[in-house]
Amino acid sequence: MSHLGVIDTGVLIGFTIEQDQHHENCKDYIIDGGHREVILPPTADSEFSNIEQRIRKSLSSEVSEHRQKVQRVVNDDPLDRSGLRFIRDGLLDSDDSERAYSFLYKFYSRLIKERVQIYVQEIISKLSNIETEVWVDWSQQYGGWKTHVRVWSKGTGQYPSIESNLLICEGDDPDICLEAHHISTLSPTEPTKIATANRRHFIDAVPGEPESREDNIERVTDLKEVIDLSAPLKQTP
Amino acid sequence: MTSSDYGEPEFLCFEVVRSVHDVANRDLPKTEFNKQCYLVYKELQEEGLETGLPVYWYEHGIMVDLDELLNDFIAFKDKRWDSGRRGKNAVIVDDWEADQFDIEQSIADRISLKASEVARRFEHTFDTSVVKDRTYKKYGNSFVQALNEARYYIEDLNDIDRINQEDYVADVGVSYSDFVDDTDTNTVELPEDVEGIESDVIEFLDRLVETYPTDTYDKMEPQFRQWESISRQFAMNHMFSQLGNFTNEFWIRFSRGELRIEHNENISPLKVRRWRMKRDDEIEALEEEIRKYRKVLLENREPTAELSAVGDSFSQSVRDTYLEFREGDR
Repeated sequence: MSHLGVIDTGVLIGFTIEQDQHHENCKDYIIDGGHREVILPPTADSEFSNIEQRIRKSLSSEVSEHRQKVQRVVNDDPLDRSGLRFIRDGLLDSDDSERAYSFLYKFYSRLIKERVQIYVQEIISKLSNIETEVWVDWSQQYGGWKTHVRVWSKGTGQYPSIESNLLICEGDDPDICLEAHHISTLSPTEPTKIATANRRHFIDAVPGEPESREDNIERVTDLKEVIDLSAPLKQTP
Repeated sequence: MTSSDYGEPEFLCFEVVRSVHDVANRDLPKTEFNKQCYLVYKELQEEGLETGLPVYWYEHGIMVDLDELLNDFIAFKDKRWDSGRRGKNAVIVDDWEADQFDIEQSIADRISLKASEVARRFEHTFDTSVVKDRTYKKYGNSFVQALNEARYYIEDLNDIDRINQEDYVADVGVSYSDFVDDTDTNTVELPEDVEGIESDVIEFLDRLVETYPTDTYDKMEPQFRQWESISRQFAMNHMFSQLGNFTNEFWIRFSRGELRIEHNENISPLKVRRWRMKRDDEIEALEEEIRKYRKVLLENREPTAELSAVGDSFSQSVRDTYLEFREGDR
């Protein structure tokens, strides 16, 4: 049944920066999720503007710093598997590449599996492509997220009694919830749902609280349903 | 008309112009004036004579800061040389004479001697880049030298592009034709050795990465790394016109935000403080250029599957980083 879909920042990040099944799930909901329209609340919009660049910049610069280190340090050419292992296990540093460490590690592991020998210049080119592609907006191939998502510009309301009854309390999440509630009240003829990538705050039962976050939101606000667009939990290797 | 304010540095400038005119018997373009003064100043310094010439490194290499001196004895006249080149020719104003400078005779003699020596060294050189290169080689650090050489090479590449220049997908105002008068942009014919050009540029960039002195230029290192990252991709994708323009932008901002601040002698502390205060503006302007050129790159480069190949792991890192920033902002 057609509804108004309000999304949070995490869903937009999934659609524009991520590149896995979670990206697909977010994309599927935004483009074809059975809604009449997808709306981004003002707080989520401002969080996204702020944080999107920071995420890309920090991951990209870690990759380029690592690449530049390889350029400075690695002399053997071409490299064999043990040379690649040296880079992966000796040169790649989880202190320097704090956030990029895991995918850079995977990058080298694949090379070790697939290649008997490789020129350093080829590794440098590959890393250069990775550090650049961190900046790609993956929603562009679908026309860009702004062609599918409307940024809410019709103001927000004050709902002190709802706010005091909401269990959700972390950071900007209560504001996003209240803005979604406000959007819902302005469209009385159709149901409004909130689609979130953050199940910990919007869906799960938190120990010590009387009901699950999801039940609480559906009971206390005008929102009809909380849609789960979270990524599956990280597998520990 | 002697004044005690016209001292050693002024006399040095005076003698350089006089020597080139009288001893080497030729004109002195402004760029070369700067470099010859610097060579005279440095060589005398190495020989134990300090003349206090105010100098700083900038876009086109070393500059004499005439604003820090009494400079009415010198003028730069517009000139068009036989070669067709236009520029500014250094001349001594009216009838200024050596005895109008207030300096000890023995010091004056040493300055005159050195100025003549340097003038003779470049007597038959009419290409100012030769003198400029000499100052880079002798007194520039290896990074600045490498960047100077890279710029010479990259400047010549503006005509070479994989993409028909008017077809660049970009923001308004970022197309190549904005930067040049020549809008004759029918199908671009790439020279056969375009792979060779790519490889040359990559080699220059490799050298720049190797020689970047992090301790010296620490303030604009993040901007350097981003410039290098995007430039490498321009080369890999044969987008050479963008490379030239972008390099120029970087060089100008970097000269203002790092070079003149780190490498200056005998400049007033007030002026250097003003340069330092403007540094953040330069960084912000360069970040804006970086954003612009990155956009042009992303819209025109050949996509690869390199990131997709590690897409799952990368996406988890994105989520972790998002969480980290969110918690950190609370």
